Amino acid sequence: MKENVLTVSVAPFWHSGAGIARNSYISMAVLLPAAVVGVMHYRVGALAVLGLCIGSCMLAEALMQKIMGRPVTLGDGSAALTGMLLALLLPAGVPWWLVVVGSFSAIIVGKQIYGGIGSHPLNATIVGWVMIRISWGVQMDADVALANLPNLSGLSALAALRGGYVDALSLKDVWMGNLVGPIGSASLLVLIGGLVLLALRIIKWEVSLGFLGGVLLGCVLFGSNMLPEGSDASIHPLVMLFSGNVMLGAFFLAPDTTSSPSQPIAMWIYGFAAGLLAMLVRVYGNYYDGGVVFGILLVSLASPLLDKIRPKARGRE
Amino acid sequence: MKRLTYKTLVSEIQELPGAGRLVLPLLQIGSAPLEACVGVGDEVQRGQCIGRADTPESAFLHSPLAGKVSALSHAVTHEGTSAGTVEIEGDAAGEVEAMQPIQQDAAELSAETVQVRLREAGVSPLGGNGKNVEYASLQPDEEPPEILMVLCADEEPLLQTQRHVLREAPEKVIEGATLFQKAVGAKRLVFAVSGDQTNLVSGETVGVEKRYPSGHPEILMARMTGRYRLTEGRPRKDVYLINAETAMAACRAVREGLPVLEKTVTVGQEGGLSVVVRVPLGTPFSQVFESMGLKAEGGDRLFTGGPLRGVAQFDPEGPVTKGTDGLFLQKGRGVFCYEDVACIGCGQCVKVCPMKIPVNMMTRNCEFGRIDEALDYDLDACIECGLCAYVCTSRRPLLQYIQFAKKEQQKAELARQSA
Repeated sequence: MKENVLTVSVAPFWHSGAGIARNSYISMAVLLPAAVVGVMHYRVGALAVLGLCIGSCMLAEALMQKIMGRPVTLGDGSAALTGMLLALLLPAGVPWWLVVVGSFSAIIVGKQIYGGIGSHPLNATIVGWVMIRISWGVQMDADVALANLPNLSGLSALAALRGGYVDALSLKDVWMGNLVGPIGSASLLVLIGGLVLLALRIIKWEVSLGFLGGVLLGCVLFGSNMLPEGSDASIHPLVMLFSGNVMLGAFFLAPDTTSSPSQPIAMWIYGFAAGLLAMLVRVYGNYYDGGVVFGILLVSLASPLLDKIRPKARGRE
Repeated sequence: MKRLTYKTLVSEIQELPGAGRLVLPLLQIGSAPLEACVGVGDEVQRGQCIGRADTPESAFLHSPLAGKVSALSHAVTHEGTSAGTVEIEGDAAGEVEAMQPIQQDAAELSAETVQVRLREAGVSPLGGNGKNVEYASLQPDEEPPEILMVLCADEEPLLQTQRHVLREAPEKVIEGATLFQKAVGAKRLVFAVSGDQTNLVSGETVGVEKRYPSGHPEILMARMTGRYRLTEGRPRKDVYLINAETAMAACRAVREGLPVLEKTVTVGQEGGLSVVVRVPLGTPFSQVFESMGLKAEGGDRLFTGGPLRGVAQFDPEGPVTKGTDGLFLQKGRGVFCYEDVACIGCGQCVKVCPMKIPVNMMTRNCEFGRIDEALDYDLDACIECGLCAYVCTSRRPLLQYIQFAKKEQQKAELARQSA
C-alpha cells in the first residue's frame, strides 16, 4: 500500500448533513419538554416507564440484530425514539412487564422481523402499543393505572367527553396534560416540538397538516356525537385537537418515514384519511382512547397503494 | 439544509505558466482517440501537433511547452478510460507555433473550412468532466442541430470557470460562437448566461438562476425548447452544446491561428477560497494545488469537476485535460462517506428531484439491477444532477445506483441487438 492514498468515492461529494441519527435525536430532544412535564404530573412512575421503554426497546433491537447477524445500529437512535414514543403513549403506573412486552413487540414484531428500519410496513411504536392495548385493556386504562396518584382525580379527557362532563375540562389542563392520561399528555408542548421538526424539514409536513385537517373535519362533522345521547353541551374543537394524542399522532406517529407514503398527493390523502379515521374510532369505536393510533395503523396498510398516485416524470406528460 | 447555489465571482483569472513534466493523454474529451505523431526524444515547439487522427470527430493535441518528448506510455485518464499518453519536459519559453489566421466573415466562410480549422486547432467541447459529450460531437453526416447553445454559466456550485471566461473576453466568446454555429450548421444561436452577466452577450439568451441545477444542460435545454429527455419526438441533437471556453478557443483558432494549449480551471479547497487559474494542458494536479499552497495528503479526497457530478481522482499527479473544469480538495476530516443501508422512505429525494421521479422506489430497484422495474419508475428520465444523493437521509449512494442501472440497461440493450 502506498502511504499517500487518496479517498475515492462516487459523486456527489457534498451532503446536506441529513441523517437517521440526526433525525432521531432531534425528535427525542423536542419531545423532552413534554416528557419532563409528564414526569412532573405523574411522578416517578412516569420516569420509570420512560426509562424502561427506551431501555427495553434498545435491548430488543440489539438482541434481534445480533440474532439475525446484522450490524447493531443502536447508534442511529431509532430504537430509542420508538421507546420514547411508546412511553409517551402509556399511562404512568402500568406494570413493568407490560412495558417490556410492549417494547419488545414494537421492535421485534413491528420492525426487526421485516428487516429493520426502512422495511417495516407499519409504525413500530403503534404495533407495540396496539398489541398491549388489545391484550391487557384493564391495565392500560389510564384511570386505573393512575388510581393511586393522590393529586390527580377525575377522568381522562376522552373519558370525560364520552361521559358528557365537558364543563369539567379546562382548556389549560388539556394543553398542559394536567389530567389523567398517558405520559405525553402535555399536547401543547408536543405541538411545539412538532413545529420544530416541521421547520427543520425532518418530517413530512404534508402528512402532519393533512392529519390535523382530517381531525378537524371529523370534529366538525360528527364530533358532538361523542357526548352521551341527550347532552346539549358542545365540544370546543381545541379540546378535540389537544386531547387523546392527536399532536403526537400528527407530528411523530403519522409522518413515520417508513410506513407513510412519499408522493405529495399521497401524503396529503394519507394524513387526512388517518385523521378522519382517528376521529371515527374516537367517537364511535370501543378503543376510543386509541383513536389516533388505530387511525394511523389502518391507513398505513394503504400506504404502498397511495404511493402509486404520483406525477408523471418530466417529459412523459 | 444548505442551499446549493452558484456563488458570485471574486477574483480574476490567474495565469500559471507551468514548466517541467506534462502528461498529455491521447484521449481527450470530445475527440476520437489520437495517434502520437512524435517519438521519444523529439524536440517539440510550443503549439506543435503531437497527437492526431484522420477521423472528422477528432480534435488534435498540441504541445503546450517547448521542450522534449520524454516518454510515450499508457495511463488511466481521469474520466476513467485507459489511453496512450505523451510526456513532455520543457518550459513555456518561445512563441507559439501558430497556423495561418483566417480573417473572412463567418458568413463568407464555408462550414468545412471552419470545421477543419477547429479540428486541427484541437477545439473540442471543453469542460463538463466528459458529461456533456452526449450533447456535442462533430459528425458531418448528421442532420444539423436546431440550436447551438453556448453555456456561459457554470453547471455546478463551486465552479466559476465559464463565467470567468465570459467576463474576461465576451467579444471572443461571441465571435467564436458565431464561427461554431457556422461549423455545425445550427439555425439558432443561444447563450445561456447567469443572471448578472446577461449584459455581456447579445442576441438570444436564456438566463441561469442562482440555484442548482439551473445550470445543468438538460434543464437549460428544457427551458429553451420545452422538451425533456423523454419528450416524444425529441431528436437526439435538438441542441448542440458548447461552453464559453470552447467558443473562445474557436475564435482564437480561426482568427489568430492558435491551438488549444491551456485549460481554465477553478481550483479550491473545501470550505476555503477558490481561485480560477489558467494552466497548460497536462499539468499535474499537485502542481496546480501547490500554486495555492495546498497539498493532497493521505485520506483526502481530490475531485475534478463539480461537487455533485464530478469524479474523484486516485492520483494526485494526474494531468489537467481539456475536460477539467474544476479541481478541488477535501481534507480528510471533511470527507463525507456513503453507507450501504436501506432506504427509510423519508421522501426527501422525491421532493428534490427536478424531473419528478419517484427516486425512492427507482433507486431501490436500481440497486439490485432490476432494470425493467427501475424503468417503470422513470429511470430514463433522470438527468443525474445528484440532488437525491445530496439530501438522502440514509446516505445511500443514489447517483451511483442510477449510473449503475443505466450501464446495465445499455449492456442489456447491446446484448439484445447482437442476439
